[in-house]
Amino acid sequence: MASTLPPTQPPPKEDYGGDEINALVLDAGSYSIRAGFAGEDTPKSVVPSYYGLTTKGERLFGENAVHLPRGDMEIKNPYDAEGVVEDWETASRLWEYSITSRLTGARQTPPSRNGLNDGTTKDGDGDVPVEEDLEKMEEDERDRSLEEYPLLMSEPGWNTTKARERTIEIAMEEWGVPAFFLAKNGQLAAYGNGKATALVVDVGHQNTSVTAIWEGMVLRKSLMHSPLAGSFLNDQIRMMFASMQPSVPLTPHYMVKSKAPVDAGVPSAATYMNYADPPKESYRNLEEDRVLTSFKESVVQAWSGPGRLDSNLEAVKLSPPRPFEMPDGWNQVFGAERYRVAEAYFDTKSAYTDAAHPAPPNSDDSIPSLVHRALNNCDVDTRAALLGNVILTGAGSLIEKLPERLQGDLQVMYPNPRVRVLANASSVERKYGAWIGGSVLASLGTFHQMWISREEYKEYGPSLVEKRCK
Amino acid sequence: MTSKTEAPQPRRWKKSQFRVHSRPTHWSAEDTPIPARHDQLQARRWRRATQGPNDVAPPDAKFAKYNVETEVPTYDAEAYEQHLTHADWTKEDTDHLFATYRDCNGKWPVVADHYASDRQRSMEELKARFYGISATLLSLRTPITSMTGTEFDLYNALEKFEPAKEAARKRLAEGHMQRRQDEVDEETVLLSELQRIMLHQATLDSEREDLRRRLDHPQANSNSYPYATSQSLTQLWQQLLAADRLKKNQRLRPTGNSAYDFGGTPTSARPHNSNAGLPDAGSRRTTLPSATTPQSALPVDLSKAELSRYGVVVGQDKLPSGVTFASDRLSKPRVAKSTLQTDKIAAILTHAGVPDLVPLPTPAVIESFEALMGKVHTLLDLRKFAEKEEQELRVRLAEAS
Repeated sequence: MASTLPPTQPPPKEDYGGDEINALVLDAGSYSIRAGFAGEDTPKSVVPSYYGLTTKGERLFGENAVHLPRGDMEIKNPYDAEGVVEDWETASRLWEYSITSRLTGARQTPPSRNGLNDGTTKDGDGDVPVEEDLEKMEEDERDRSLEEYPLLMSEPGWNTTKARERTIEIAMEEWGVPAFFLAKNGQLAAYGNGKATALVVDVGHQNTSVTAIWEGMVLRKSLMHSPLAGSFLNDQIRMMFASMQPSVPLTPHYMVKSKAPVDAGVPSAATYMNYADPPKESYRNLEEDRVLTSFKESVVQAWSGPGRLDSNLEAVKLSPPRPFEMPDGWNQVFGAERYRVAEAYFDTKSAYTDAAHPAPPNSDDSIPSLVHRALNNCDVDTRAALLGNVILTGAGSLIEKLPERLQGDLQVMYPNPRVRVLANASSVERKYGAWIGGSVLASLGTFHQMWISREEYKEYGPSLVEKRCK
Repeated sequence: MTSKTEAPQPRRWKKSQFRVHSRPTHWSAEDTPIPARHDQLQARRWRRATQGPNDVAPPDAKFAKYNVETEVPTYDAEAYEQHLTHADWTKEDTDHLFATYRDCNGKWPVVADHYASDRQRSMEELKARFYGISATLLSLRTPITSMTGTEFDLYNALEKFEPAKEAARKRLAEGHMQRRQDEVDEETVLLSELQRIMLHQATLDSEREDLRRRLDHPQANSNSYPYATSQSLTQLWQQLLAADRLKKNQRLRPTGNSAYDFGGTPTSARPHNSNAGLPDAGSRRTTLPSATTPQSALPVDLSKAELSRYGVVVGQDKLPSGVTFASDRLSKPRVAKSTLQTDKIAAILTHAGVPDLVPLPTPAVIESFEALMGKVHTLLDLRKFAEKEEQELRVRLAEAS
């Protein structure tokens, strides 16, 4: 790798490989959708993948709409448990929303609704046709805003052929993008870290995936994924709360009207909101997950090794516990529990179980065993190089000490080759790893030869995506 | 009073110091073609606005050179039927292999990963098939006899690929990969031990080298400095001295040591100086003959008393040419031309009490010895004369009687 220049200094002309053509990068995941212009260092638009579906059938997108407590709104997610799109209609709207809401500028309000024509009679003497069909106008506006920019999208490595073809159809036919490309998440994360050969461990919301990249290309047989990811960790924390004595009450923010300070472990003295039309269960779940996210950020920690948590319980008990306060004022310190919830990533037997999840997850699904299985499907000669470049990325990997633990476990599993886990210290780089890689890729001068253009799409149809986007 | 009535002056608006003096450059987004694409895809790039409409900047073809494709040998159906058939491989599978190879830019780990067929094939099988076909096609294109060196090397490498050996190597590599911790530790320890030994070896070698250099016999290096040895220096001294003798005002003073001043004396008589070959400054001084013992032997300024005390004698008489010994002055006078005469001298000396070997032949002793010898010779002469006279007297007596 070339030496890094300070960000203020442009690279020398002959070294500079960038050629910015205003491409859009869309990294859609099951938790959030990241969108922005290629060449920037963070996505400008980050939109939750959860959306609100009102009883009237209206879809509400965006952070502001989703977190509003409404009795008539169901929270849904267009992605299935595998992280593959299930509800295409909504997904395409959601993607579009993530781009148009922040990047291409707000739509112009149609003249009949913009307030300037209020009070006038039907299409009086103005020069603007007010009577245009509203639906049609919106369609027109929508099409035009995306027609200008080439679009690079990401996909999970195990995406189906059908889903890939559907994606290019949406981009080409509904949005009319001039050029399109589909790249795998793992590949992009490796590019974002400046590596062409790497083993990418991506801990996301619904899935943790392992992808081997060899000289810029994905080794398909190495692709492994398991459901042990952020959402699984939320469930673990819920079970941990339930198993504690006394059990921990989980109250989301919207339920609390006001709170008063109480001692640790004492029931809260908060006054709660009373909704005439209480929000649905799915909304509560979403809001609870927000509390759990802050719990994960501030309390949960992976045991950094050496060895497993079971054999180090004494050391864990000596480490200082961490306090956490619920939105309603209830607070408690968490000692060994805060290590145990994340332990299931490495040692599935230690996972919490309850009536809904009677058995611990399959031991093949732990992160080290995913890596092991992925490597077994690679050629022997590549394994040492891959182990030397293990890239840990994804927002789920931001659990404290997770990189150290992964490094330790992999080194124990493979004592001979040198194992190096690369985890960027900046949480933004880890959260948006795949998007940043896409941003790098789509602003490279050498990449523009690879776009699938509209012309090519018209000639060969959606099956071209299988041939071109490997 | 007056100052109070004065109306407050409105503050003058000062121009901002941070005003940009240069005029803003105009940029415009233009649709420009992407080089190295076969279609008409246009990319919108921001460019500095050009002066005129016909003055359009050429598209940047800088990246087009990276649009490369892997070279893959090609064959047609006929060639396949004739030369390339294989019991294990159908034509479809072979075609698929070649297509995959092209798609993956010839990266074998990726090729083996992407190659999907009904039959599970290992990377070695794929490689063997691919290399086999490549070699056959190469030899079809150019017969082996007319191949160039590089072509033949390539052909040889392709021909020599042994899948079984390669598979065995991979098994070994796999075993190496899966070693246990203690084996790894052992290897680490051994490696560090080897490292230590090698480091030690290096220092030992350099020390030994240093020592060897010190002990080494000096090599006369006549190329760099012609007068490095004492021998050549003596020669130079003799040449200069001989040339100097012919001049009127002599600048060189003979050392007094004939070994240095005159040629023909073997220099090996001098003590051997082991440092003589080293061209350092110290040794040159010691090898200069004029500076050493011969000159210090000369009486510099001694008083008469000291001269007599140390027995120093300055020889005035000219030495004869050729080899002479100082002891000759003691032994020569004893020897006469005839043995009879010599016996007579010896008889006289024995009578006078002079031993055959003079114990301490100081100059004074020699002088008195010479005086004595002069007297001995006079005595011998007188005796001879007396004998002659007696003989004549007897002859006259006999005549008279």
